[in-house]
Amino acid sequence: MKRPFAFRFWMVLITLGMGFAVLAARAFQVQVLDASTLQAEGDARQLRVVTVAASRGMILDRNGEPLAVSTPMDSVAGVPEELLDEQAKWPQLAGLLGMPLSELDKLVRRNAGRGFMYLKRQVNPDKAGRILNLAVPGVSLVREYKRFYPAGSSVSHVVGYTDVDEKGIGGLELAFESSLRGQPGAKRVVRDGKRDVIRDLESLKRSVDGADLHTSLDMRLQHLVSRELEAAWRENKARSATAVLLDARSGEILALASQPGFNPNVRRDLGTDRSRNRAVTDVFEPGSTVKPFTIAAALDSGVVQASTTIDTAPGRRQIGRHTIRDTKNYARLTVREVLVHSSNVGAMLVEQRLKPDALWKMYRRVGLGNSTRCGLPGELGGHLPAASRWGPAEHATLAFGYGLSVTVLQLAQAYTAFANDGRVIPVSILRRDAPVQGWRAMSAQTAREVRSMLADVVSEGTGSAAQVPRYRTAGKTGTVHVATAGGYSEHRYVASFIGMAPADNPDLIMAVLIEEPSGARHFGGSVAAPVFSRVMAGALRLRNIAPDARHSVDAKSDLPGGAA
Amino acid sequence: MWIDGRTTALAVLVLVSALALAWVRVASREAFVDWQKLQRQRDELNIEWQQLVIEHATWSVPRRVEAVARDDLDMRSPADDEVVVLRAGEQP
Repeated sequence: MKRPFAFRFWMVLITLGMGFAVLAARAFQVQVLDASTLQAEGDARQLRVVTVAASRGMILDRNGEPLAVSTPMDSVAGVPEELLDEQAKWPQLAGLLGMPLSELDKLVRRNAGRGFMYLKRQVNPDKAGRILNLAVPGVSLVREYKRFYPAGSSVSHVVGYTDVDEKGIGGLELAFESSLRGQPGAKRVVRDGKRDVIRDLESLKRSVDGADLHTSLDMRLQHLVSRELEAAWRENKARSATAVLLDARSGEILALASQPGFNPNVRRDLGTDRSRNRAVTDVFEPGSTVKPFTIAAALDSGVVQASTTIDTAPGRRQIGRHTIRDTKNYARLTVREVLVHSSNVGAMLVEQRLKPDALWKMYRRVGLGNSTRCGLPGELGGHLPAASRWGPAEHATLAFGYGLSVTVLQLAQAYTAFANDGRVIPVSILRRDAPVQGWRAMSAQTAREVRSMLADVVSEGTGSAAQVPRYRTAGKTGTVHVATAGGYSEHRYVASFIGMAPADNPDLIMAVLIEEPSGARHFGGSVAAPVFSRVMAGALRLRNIAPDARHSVDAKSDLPGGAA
Repeated sequence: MWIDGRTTALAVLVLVSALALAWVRVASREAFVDWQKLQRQRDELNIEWQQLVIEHATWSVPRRVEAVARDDLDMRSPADDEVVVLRAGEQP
């Protein structure tokens, strides 16, 4: 029997069946055929690879005091397209960003069409929070690091600075960029519809923080040097001033300062002439400060003794068309006195007794005219003419420091030979944990003899302003005319002093250079030596160095308690 | 269907391993989340530490210490005739 409604039954069945078939087909298409594209679309909306910031290493002084530290700041970022739809909130936003509305307007419109822009970089977290609370669509915070320099301008020439992206631009920040900089990592995160990260999925690459840099500097000594140098720079109305303080035994740079200075925390000072580290980037003719090496070369080769007399009368000599002059006619001088009175004629006559290349070899051995390669960026090598090119005039002028150019740091390094019984210790801006041997530049006997002459320079010669109460110091003054196109300027000078203390067993070496002092005085002995004296008085105390000149000081002053 | 002991055992092992895989994935995600949390905590502590380092350094710059000692505490360096040097084995 034919069922009633059979037709309808089949109709319903087929219709439903077709419906299911369509659904199944669609499901098959979505789940199997298009799965990979759809999955990718979904992931693109949800999953994000974000970078994990790595912090930059600190720069520390030898005792661990921080000289440069990074701290996170929030930068305000925006999506221009979304911002353009929210102009009602702009006045409020501009207020918190600290810019006029017109500026915000210009900024957003200029970046229209980009997917991302910075509204303001590196705002403090407190303000950043208030900006986020405005809940302007398209505005978000990006974590960035900002560099702080707690010591400010006192050590800025050495430490240098970074750009706004924390990339080293000058000084140690630039020189050690690769080790200070961290390696940012990456991780995959899930974001919700509001683009907030709701969970971390996996780490793709671990971030590696930058390594700390331990320098050889001592903040307390650095402060002392930079304070006294700045005072001298101002007092003498000088164009620039530079000073280096070395540990005489290890060659470590304990302090290094330049004037004019800059504050690395103030961005507008950066990259100007003020931010140059003159101790390594500027060369000068050393003048009389290299006479000790002339004397050392002569003593070393045995052509003179400290007591050999030299007749400098009448205080001048004619070499070709040049006249070499002393400040007065000293007549007969011992070699020791040549140094004590800084006689140019005497130095010239001592050099004439040497083999033609002996002085050149001595200058080379102590590193004059050669970069110290201590790692500070922009260091110049200076210039020392090849021995084969020395004529009679060169022999004469090079004997008292004209015709070659050096940096202050080089000169300080060369003096380590006198402090270490003949061995030059290469300077270092990084802390040294093991002593270095250096190399021999002269015999120990010669070094000690010259050192005792240098002590006489301070106690009875041109360097008397470098005396330090209670200590015996040794050093040499220098005053050179500034070289100009076609000769030397009559009234522009570079005044310098370089010395060590205590004289018998030097612990510190300091070089001071004052360029073009335009005050009442211009001699190295009257402009640069006092800086040495004031710094050494404080530095020797801070370093706990026992006074070595108690007899002479005791004789002069009446000490309470009747110290013997 | 023909089933012997070994097949059953394998089937059970496959099932166990499948479940274990799911369990390990969940566990690893949880551990990862924990790790992230600890890392964030570490980062926050690092940040606080860095800010304290900066604060400490700012308060202790020699320039400021000197100013405080001189101006607020009325201190000064001893004058030359106020210094007595004592040496081991010597009577002052």
